[in-house]
Amino acid sequence: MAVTRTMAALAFALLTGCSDSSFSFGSHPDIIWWTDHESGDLSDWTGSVPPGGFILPGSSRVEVVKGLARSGQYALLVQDNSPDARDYPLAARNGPLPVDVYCSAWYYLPEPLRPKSYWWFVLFRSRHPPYDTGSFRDEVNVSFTTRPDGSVGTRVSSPDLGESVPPVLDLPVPIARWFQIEVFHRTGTDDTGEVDVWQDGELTFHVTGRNSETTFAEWMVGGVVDSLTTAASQLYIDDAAISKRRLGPVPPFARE
Amino acid sequence: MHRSLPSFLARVAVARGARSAGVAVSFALLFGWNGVARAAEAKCPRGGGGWIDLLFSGTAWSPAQQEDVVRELRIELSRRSLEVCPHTEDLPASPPVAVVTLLSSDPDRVSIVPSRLQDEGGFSGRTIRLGSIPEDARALAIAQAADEALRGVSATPEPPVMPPAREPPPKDLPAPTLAPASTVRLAVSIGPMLELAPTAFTAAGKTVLAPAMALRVAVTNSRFGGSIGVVLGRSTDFVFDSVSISQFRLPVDASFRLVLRAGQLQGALDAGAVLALLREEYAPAHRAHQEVEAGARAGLTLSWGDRIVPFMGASIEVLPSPFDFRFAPMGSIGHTSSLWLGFALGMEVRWR
Repeated sequence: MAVTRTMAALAFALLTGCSDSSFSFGSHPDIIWWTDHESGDLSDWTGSVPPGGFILPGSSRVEVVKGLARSGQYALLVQDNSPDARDYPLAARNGPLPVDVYCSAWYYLPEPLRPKSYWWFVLFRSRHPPYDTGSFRDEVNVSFTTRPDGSVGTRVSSPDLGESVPPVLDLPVPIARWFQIEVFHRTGTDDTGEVDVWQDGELTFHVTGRNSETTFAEWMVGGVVDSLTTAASQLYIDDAAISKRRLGPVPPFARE
Repeated sequence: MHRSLPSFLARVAVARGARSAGVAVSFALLFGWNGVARAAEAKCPRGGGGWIDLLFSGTAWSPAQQEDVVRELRIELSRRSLEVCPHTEDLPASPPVAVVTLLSSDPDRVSIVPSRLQDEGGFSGRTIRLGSIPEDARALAIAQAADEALRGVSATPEPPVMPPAREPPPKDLPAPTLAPASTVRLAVSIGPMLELAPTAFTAAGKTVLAPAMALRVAVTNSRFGGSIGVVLGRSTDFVFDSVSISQFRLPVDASFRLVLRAGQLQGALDAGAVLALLREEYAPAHRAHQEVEAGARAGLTLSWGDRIVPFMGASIEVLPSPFDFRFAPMGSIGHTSSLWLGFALGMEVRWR
């Protein structure tokens, strides 16, 4: 009887030819940190693995919300509630980052964002002793901008690299669709520095040279915004990761 | 004719090798070659064991037919340690166990009349028709019929047990070409094996190679049968960029077997189901999993010989439901192989 059952199970397995079985081995060794926000709060940003992180809401809103998400049910919502003034709603991971590091996140704009002059949604910040809240300099950033045809685009700038790094490929930012921005950042206090930016897997910026005041760098997402020209002020962020290698536009994150 | 036939037989012996030499000698004796030459030939029977006095009678026999029948009958009777000697007028050293007369005056019909000398008048024989038998199989058919007729004669009373012949039959006698249909064979094979899983079937960075030992037990009846095989190997690594997953795999299969033979060459085709015990380990995280995967297997084995034979084999395993290797947060980075190829060399031992 047991033999019959075994053969029946075997025949079924052969005939169906499919199985959802898998082996889970935990976090990938190339991933330094990641979040899919499915904890429902900001704990992945502020805690998780060392050295942790922090939230800077400014006068605006930085929180994990349910409903619109790339993976699962939760995502990070950054909303600028100071349309007429400079504000800095940010979620950050502490430094020091590895000298060579990839920082990736997926973004969603319900409507086109129209800052008066800039909305840095990706920011690398350097710190110097004594590493307190005032001992920093904003370095490389990726900002939303308005392209000549009116669509939303991106721009890379930094104190050392200039106000606008020429793009390798000028791509529009999709509206009401998740898109990925992945940055390779080689912290450089001299000419060894390098910054590469991919949008949905396509290289859009590549620049080398000094890009940081110190070798202590940290990564932030959200907004450093001067002011807004329209009412639209929301940016959703999900599936963020810091990694040793380029991820590319991977499928939505999964826990095990 | 007596002078030309031995020359012809000598040429046959040279052309066909040692196997034909005995036949040539027998025919030389049968046709009364000259005395000097006869004295130089080996005697028949050569040993002190039992022997059959074979007498060709009738007008339908050709020398070539007689030669073929003698050769085939020698093969048949060698299993019972009986020697076959074409009839001569010389006085043998010992009396034959039986005299077999093959009578044929019609090319399509042969009468077989065996008799034991102790049972005077106890003749019993049989006639076989050759018309439906291919030309090249007639000698074998006559020899087998003569063997059966001799067994019938010897059924009562039982012939004396013959001591082993001092000179056993030549070892280069051809093996029987028609095996009894009811012969059951047991075969056990073992040998080193190399299994490989191409990258296209794992998504790994390189082909996975797994040295192992293959053990297989097969039972066949004539051309069909079954086999059970197991492959014992060491752990092997699946490498996906910076991730290396160690896999221990123990496949066991049960297969239907088809056997094809051509002389000493045997081909065995196995097809069946395979179950494999899997143990996957990612050492840096100290995480391991065990599972059983199911699939189909086909294998082809070629061997040469009869009892203890070398073999070489190739196999393919198809696993339709491979297991994903998952890491957070990206998900699957690859999977267990959905196909394994195997190559083996080794030895096989067979029993009947």
